[in-house]
Amino acid sequence: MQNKNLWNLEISRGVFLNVVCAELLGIVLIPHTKISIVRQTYAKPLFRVKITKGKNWKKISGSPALWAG
Amino acid sequence: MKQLVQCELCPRNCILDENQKGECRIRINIGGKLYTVTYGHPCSIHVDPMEKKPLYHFLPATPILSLATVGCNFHCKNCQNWEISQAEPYQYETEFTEPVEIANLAIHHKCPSVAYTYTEPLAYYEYTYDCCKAAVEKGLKNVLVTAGYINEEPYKQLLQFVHAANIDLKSFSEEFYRTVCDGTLKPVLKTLELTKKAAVELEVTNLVIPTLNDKDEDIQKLSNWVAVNLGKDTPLHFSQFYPQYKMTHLPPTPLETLIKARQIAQNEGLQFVYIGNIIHREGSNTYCPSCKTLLIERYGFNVLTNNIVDGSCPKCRTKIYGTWK
Repeated sequence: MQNKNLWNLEISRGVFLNVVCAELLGIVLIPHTKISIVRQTYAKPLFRVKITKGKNWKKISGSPALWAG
Repeated sequence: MKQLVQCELCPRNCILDENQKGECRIRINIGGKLYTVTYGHPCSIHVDPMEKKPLYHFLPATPILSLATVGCNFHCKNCQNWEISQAEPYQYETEFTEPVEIANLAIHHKCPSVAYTYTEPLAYYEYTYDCCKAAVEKGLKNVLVTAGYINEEPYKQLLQFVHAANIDLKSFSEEFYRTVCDGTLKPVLKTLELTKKAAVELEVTNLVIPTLNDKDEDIQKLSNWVAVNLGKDTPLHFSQFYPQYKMTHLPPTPLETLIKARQIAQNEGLQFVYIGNIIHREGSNTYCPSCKTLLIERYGFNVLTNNIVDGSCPKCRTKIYGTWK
């Protein structure tokens, strides 16, 4: 019983350290990731080739309106 | 470099990561560009009576081709069309339908107008816009049935092709919009004002939900705002709530509540106040605001008699707000 508790404690400590390391890595890396935000009001149409779980989308060419191009 | 896109169509202004969809489930960031995934893919097309929209002051007793694509930028807990409005686009197998085909379909079914309805036409904006344009080129009229949650600039662009609109004013409380719809009230009020300013035939609908927006003071505030800001001749519909989606624990709105709401709105000076989603003869009819003559008698979605002559009351010649021909 005592061994099992010790084992659980070790796992908890491991998980905790992993989380701390991941967070620290994030703090170091995120400021170095370049992010740009483009503002857009109008969207271009996408044409669906085949409907399977939303993965197969294809761009449509020659769309007719002000958001084309 | 990470390319995010901020969609500025509606007041949510979603910032989208690569391959991420907006709250509407319609607009997606692919390679730093915004795409609409439901363009040309209506999930519902029906011929409805105009009175079902509900529009009581626009081409009465005419059929209207009504369509929708999947998706909505609100997530109302009481949504009656939640199966399509809250669905993912891939859940519906649909055929590609070009805007001009929609116009041709309306002509084929002898519909003088096309309605963009059921879900949120302002979320599938580009398809609505192109269909409206195609319809106008074919001599048809366009109707929006919407919750009015859109930014000013794109809405103004669209309004040039719109002839009538029924806009939901779900409540006059920010809290209601936040907790029930996952939205905000102010942009909706702006949309209502812009619609009226653009001389589009405007009717307003308020779904009365027991315990949430059915207090006398809620109804009074809402009616007063409509009378002052949109005009006393703006038709206002109080609709009966029916338990739906995530609000099955509430009862349907009692008829007495709707009758009382109508009375309150009339006391605020509104001339055309209707009761909908339930059969109520007096609350369905249009009366002359001057001499109280019965102008249009309705039963459900049917027009039994229409006594309006040249857009006026046949007895006292008062001009009646609306588009009658």
